[in-house]
Amino acid sequence: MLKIDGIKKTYSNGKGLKSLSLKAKRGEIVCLIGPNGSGKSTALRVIAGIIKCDNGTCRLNNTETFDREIKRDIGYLEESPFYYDNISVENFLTFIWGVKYSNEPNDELQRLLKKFDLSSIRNYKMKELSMGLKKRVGIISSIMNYPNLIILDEPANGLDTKSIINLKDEIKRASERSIIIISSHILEYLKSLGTRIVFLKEGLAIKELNIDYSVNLEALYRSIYMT
Amino acid sequence: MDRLKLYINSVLGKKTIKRFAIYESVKWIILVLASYFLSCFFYSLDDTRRPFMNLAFLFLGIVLCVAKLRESIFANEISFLKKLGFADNEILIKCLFNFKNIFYAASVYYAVSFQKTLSLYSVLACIAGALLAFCSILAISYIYVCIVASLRKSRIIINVALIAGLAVALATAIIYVYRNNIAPSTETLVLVVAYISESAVSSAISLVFFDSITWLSLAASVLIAIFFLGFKSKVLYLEEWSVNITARVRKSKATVQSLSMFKAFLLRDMRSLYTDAVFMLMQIVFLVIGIWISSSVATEDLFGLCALVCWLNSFNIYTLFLIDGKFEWIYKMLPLRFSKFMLMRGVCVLTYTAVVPSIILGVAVFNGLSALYALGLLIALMAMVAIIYIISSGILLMFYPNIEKSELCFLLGNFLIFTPLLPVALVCAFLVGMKTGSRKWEVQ
Repeated sequence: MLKIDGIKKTYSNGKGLKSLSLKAKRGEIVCLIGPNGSGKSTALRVIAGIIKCDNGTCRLNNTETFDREIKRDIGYLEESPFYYDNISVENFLTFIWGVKYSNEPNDELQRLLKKFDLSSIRNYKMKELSMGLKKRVGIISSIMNYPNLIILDEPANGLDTKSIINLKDEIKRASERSIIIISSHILEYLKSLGTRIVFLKEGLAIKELNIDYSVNLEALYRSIYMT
Repeated sequence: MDRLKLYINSVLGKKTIKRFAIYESVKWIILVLASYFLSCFFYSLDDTRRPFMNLAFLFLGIVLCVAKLRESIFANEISFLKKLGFADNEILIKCLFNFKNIFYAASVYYAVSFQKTLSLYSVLACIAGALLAFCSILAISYIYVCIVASLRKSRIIINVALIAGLAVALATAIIYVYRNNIAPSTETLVLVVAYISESAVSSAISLVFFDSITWLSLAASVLIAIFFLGFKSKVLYLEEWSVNITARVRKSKATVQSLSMFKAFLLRDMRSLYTDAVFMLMQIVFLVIGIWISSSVATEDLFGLCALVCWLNSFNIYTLFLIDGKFEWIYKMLPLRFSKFMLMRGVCVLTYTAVVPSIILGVAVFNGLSALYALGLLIALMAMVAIIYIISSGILLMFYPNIEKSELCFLLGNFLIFTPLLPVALVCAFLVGMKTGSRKWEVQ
């Protein structure tokens, strides 16, 4: 169970996240929508426990997400992930697996490599990969072993169509075991994937609704942000 | 520790911590001994080259330190490791691996500086000197890293600061005793800092007033290489612009718009530098030292210090080239001529390098130095900066726009290490560089 209670994070320029409260349980896919600078990435960083919020709490199964002990239960894909340039794709993913789960990676990693068409380039160094391929590696690193909470910050950016479809499949599959939070600007993609949407504007969560096929996201977006 | 073992195994590619430690120790010993024997050999040939050699290694050290600091501070590695659940102390220990090259660079510098007789004492002084540089940088950078990375305060930070402080004090004392053959006193730290400053100043003077045939031929060969590179780059640049009539029209418009664009890019460059913490820190340190000595030392030393400031500052040009490397497409979208681009850089470099020396000389004038003489010195300094600019931008152009920080350090490092060898070797290095640079430029 993820419980976010009034988290706030303000940067020195006055921008950031002013207030966000949210509850989510396993099986839910929560989508964050908002224009650039609305506080989506900040919210995700706070939820992932990368930065500490000024106010409020963010707990996963009653443990603060900022605590080190819970990191293995969180998979987080940043907008611009970090990679070690000089190690191979497989070594990079094995390293992350080893650090998080303290054992040898199982067949799941191989399956994901195959699913995202990375099997043939598993021995390539990270620096030799294109932006899209790196993004796929980042996605695998955040969803592998299906942690309790998966956070994806604009995961579809830079991916080709096949990878976007594969990502959608994997998110659906992961949602059976995890809570998933995604931010994106592609409304149709979020509609086809999410169970709930939170609209952020200038750091505030201004609207929250469950997604069904009758929801017209574009009309909602226009009424919230373009009027 | 399990995480660190995994890091060493997976990322650094070493099977065990023990093997990693042995490998690094052996590497360090070989590096220091090689530098020692190399310097012995060169000094036996011509002792007058010692200051330049020292300055070269000092500069190599600074380049390495700045690059490593930037890399470790601005890369997202720390948040990546935090995301994986690394503890604060594990991250701090891991950061030490990043900083090991600074220790090596400092060791090499001191191995070169301390060469006289190979004794236990000289080795000890070398290690102490390296520790001095290493710990000073470590202490400053860790405070910054801890703030940037929002690491929680823990005992390990206090311990690191304590050990760094002790090591600095110990190293300073050993160096002072070794070099002066006198017992340490309460003034040790001040005297050692003054000694190092004096050494650096004399190095700068010898660099500015080089007159041997070797150095002149070196300078000539570098300038020829730069001219060739600049010319080739310009031709390639224009080829991209002059592919059709539209491009030609744009080129003619360039003269109309260039002044405002010139100003805009110049301001952007200046802003980029002055918001850079490392750059600002350097300026403040130079300014404090300069004002401190402007009233108490001879004019030659003052000029020497200003020359050193300009020399070190002018190498910040690589920061500007890195920015351009990232946003190279912007230049190609704008009607900006290559000559304007290079001139813009030159003006920017001249402006920012002139600020600190101008203030120092201004204070010196206030303290009794002739204003005309100060103006003359400033003009001489700017002429020197212009030469450095031409040389350094030429080197950078080889790698432009695909400039990688690591490549740059490697290139400059090699350039400086082999500088005392022969101009022929340098020309060979430049030929290889030119080939690489031209290929990279053509690929764009």
